[in-house]
Amino acid sequence: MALQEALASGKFVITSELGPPKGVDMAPLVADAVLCRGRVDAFAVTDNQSSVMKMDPLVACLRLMEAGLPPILQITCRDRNRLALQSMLLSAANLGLRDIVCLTGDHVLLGDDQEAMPVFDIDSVHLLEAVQGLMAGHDMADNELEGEPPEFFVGCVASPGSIPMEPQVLKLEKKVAAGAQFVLTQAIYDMDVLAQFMQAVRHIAVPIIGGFVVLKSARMAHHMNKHTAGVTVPDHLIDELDACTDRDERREKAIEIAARLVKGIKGLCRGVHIMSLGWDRHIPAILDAAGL
Amino acid sequence: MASEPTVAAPPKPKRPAKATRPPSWKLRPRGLLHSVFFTIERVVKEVLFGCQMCGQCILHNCGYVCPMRCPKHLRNGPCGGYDARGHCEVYPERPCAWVRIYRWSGHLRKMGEYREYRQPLDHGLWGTASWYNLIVTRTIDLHGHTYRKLPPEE
Repeated sequence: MALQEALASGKFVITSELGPPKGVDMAPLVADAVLCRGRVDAFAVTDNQSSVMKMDPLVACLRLMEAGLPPILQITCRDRNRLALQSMLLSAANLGLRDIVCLTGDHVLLGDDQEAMPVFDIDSVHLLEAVQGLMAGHDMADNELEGEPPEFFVGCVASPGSIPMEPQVLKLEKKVAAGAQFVLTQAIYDMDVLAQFMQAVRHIAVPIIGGFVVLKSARMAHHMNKHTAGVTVPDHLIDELDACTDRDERREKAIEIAARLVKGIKGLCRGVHIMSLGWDRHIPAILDAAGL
Repeated sequence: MASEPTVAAPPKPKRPAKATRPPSWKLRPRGLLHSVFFTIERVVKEVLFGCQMCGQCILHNCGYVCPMRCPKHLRNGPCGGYDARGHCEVYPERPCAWVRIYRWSGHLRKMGEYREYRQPLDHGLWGTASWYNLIVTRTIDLHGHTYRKLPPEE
């Protein structure tokens, strides 16, 4: 709801990403996120991100709502079959969660428990269709729902840095045809590549929110380059982080780089999605430095 | 809890980059006609295309590259996980099945078919012969659309 209103108002939307804990205590996460209240329009809550087992995003979203922080529920196809996915959507609607993002999800072989079963009963396009079906009052097998149908503001994900880029564009067309109303992108650092992507998708009339992961150190950037497909951190950013000698200087540099990325994305997209990976308390500083 | 002697876990073997069929594959139906279709189809398609016998074949719509070779069993296009070489992020030594489908659809002038929406899998059809499902029982069509419905209530 908050995201839908923010996009409808025409302003440059700022979203951030929170990962639920690998435990039962939401308090530290909520405490960090509260520092961003009023600066960030909505907080996306990840679903066992990178196939690492975490608390269910549904409950994490509920705790954020209780703290007055508008959440966006992320749902992946990795862990749940179509019955459980639709159950989760109905539960989300009951809790008052309207903003959701549907994505495929990383495979379990990329996570910390590689013996789990990768479900992938349906893919993200089917999940988007299932959301439309629920909103029309029936489930995936055309059975009628009881009572009032739920309402959602549903989004999807695209990866602008993938090479070749065209399959991403074609899949985005399918996702939008299946009902996606906004797009969050995978982390992108090269503004030329993002501009190319925005040009390639200009015929797709949904708001696109450009995303990036806050680069905390050169080591992290190298790790992302090596292990995260579709994400390339340019060398000049790694060199800037390498040049820092102590932790404080590196943190300042990280905030400065993040601010530059926010400004770059502002020139191209309808919003920015800051994946802070635990650095939520620094988001106000990043936004200050970016002039937002 | 009683204390047990701690034994160091054996090192995990490197995973073979081949398992994509779910276990239900093995429980395919019996019946002579089906077995004939199954054997012929499997020999032809597995040798030529690496067929996974999903039972709802869309090979002709996917540039003659089997999309079920994707470890996520995606039916509508790749995830964001292929690297700059076009290789799968899950099995880096293999090319992404959907990048291959995209390239071959281009070569074979089948981009219209590439762009088609494909409905969700009927997981009960794993391990059955698609040609049998298409011709004999008519539970699938040429676009991978499946028609299995629940039996009517008595």
